[in-house]
Amino acid sequence: MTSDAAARKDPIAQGPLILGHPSDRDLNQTLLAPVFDPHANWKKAAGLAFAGTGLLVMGVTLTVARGIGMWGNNVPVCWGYGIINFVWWIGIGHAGTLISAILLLFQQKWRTSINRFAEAMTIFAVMQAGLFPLIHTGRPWFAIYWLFPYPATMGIWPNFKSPLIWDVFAVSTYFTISLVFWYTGLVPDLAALRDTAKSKLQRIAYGIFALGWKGSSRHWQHYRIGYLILAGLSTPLVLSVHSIVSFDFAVAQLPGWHTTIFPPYFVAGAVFSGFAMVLTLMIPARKALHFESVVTARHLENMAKVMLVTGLIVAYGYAMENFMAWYGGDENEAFAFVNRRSGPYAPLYWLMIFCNVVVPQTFWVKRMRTSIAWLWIASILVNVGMWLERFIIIVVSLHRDFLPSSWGMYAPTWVDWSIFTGTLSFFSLLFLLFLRFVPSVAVAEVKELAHELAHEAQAGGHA
Amino acid sequence: MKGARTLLGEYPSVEKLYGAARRLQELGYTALDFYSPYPLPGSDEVLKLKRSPVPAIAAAGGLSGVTLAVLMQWWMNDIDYAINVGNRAAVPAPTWVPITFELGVLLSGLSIFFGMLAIFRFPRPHDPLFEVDAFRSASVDALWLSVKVEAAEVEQVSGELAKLGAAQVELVPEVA
Repeated sequence: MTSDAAARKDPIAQGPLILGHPSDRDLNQTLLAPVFDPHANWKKAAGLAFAGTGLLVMGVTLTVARGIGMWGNNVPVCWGYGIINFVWWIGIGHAGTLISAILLLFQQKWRTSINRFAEAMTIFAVMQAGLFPLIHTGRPWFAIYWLFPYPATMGIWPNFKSPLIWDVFAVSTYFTISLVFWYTGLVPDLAALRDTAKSKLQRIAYGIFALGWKGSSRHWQHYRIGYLILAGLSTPLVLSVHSIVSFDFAVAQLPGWHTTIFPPYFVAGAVFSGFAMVLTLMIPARKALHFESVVTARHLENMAKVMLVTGLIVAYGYAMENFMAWYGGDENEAFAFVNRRSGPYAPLYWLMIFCNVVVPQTFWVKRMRTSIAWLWIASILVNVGMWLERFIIIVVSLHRDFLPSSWGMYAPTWVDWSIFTGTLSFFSLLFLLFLRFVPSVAVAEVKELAHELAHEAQAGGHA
Repeated sequence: MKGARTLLGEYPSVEKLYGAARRLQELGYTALDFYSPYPLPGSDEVLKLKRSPVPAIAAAGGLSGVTLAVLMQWWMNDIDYAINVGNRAAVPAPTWVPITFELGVLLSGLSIFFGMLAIFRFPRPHDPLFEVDAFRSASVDALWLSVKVEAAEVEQVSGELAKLGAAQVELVPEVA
């Protein structure tokens, strides 16, 4: 079959998902190379990220030792960076689950090369996210009885009617299930590492984590169905998590928060920012680790398309919020949006519109969405835009509410900035460790895909 | 089987692997297994495997999570330490939905993971099969077949495995 005929048969198929015809052994070698033969600059990058993590340690120590007064939070803006960063980080995690679970259920083959990577990003992002609600309580050692129902001597229980408690259950379930899903997928690859490792230490270490996997068909039978059900569970889970995060706001009475559009708009925004983060990390990593043959231009282009779609949903959310504020006729709600557009934080609002609404429109043009340099810049702009969105929802709604006598302004302190940049560094550190010690592309799944593709090509050749 | 030994044969293609398995089944050897770096389509039918219990385990886990969540929220917030919010009806509360869903998913997912560990008898970092050095290719690019035979039949069956197209045949050493 000629390539013309192939293009006619499937108008969506563009580039190949795997370049060339690598054998299983080649794939094994290419994909495990970063573990056995680390990149020359790995130590420098990891050192930098480790140093940056010091900022986090310092920021958290100061917060715990001297209290929340070290932050810029005030009355009326009692939720500042703590909650902005929480929502931003947890949103980033959502693309990982979308890629690994939802695209698996839809049998999107292009997910295979990037799912491991995106799932790791999910886990590390949720770890950063979880930190913020914990330290924003001021006294995290009390948080255990505020948050979890355990029989304490006080004889009281958490109020399960509060969205903040729902959040605790949603985020901890999300983290646990993502971890289990990721590890389950990892086991066959850890076995491959165990069996190809040259040093005894590596064989023992990977042997322990591979749990004794031997690729038995009697095991694959249970494994395949188990993995599929985990994907099926993760799909509604990921939708529930950001919906529940949005309830933290939507259930409150505050103008700018009290709206029914929040759950879908938060979920779309989460996927949007998550895909942006996957691109931000994937573009340099695929170059450094020489993964261009399995993470092809088509993968990057598909991610740009997902960003375009979710970006449009986010844009629709912005438009609807503004429209309903005007059409709804509630004076306070209307003012909240006038204040966003033309209040003291208006430049941030328009910067957000630029990053989240204007920038993704460039992906309509094929030349733009296939330009790797532009994709990388755009992904960073979207990350900035989505962070600003959370800043605007939280700070700009809180700083001017019903009573003009209690209006105020908010500015973060250097401790806020240290904690935020510290989580960025900690996230990078975890990610670098992941790239160094764990197969960052799902080797077993890529092998399976390569066989499927070869089989299809053969079947097509006979047709 | 007392004194049973395990023989391993490596086959160059899935067709040969399945062919060998079918022949061995005809000869009466049913304690067979395949080893491959990725799941082989059709292996369940060739090995005549029973349906996996994993979906049932997942359902049981999920249902216990849901039950636990409903009982927990009802007992803690309405019985043991009643919290009256706006005098709303205590039971059934729509506000229970998120936690009920989350706990259902949590216990279902965990029961899949630990259920599979139990079925596989994992963790088992050292398996007798790992004593065979060539077997390490099973996670890289090779297809292996294993068959359990009586000690007396080792010679005969390894000849059979080679006749059926095995690139190499190995006897798994007995572990003391």
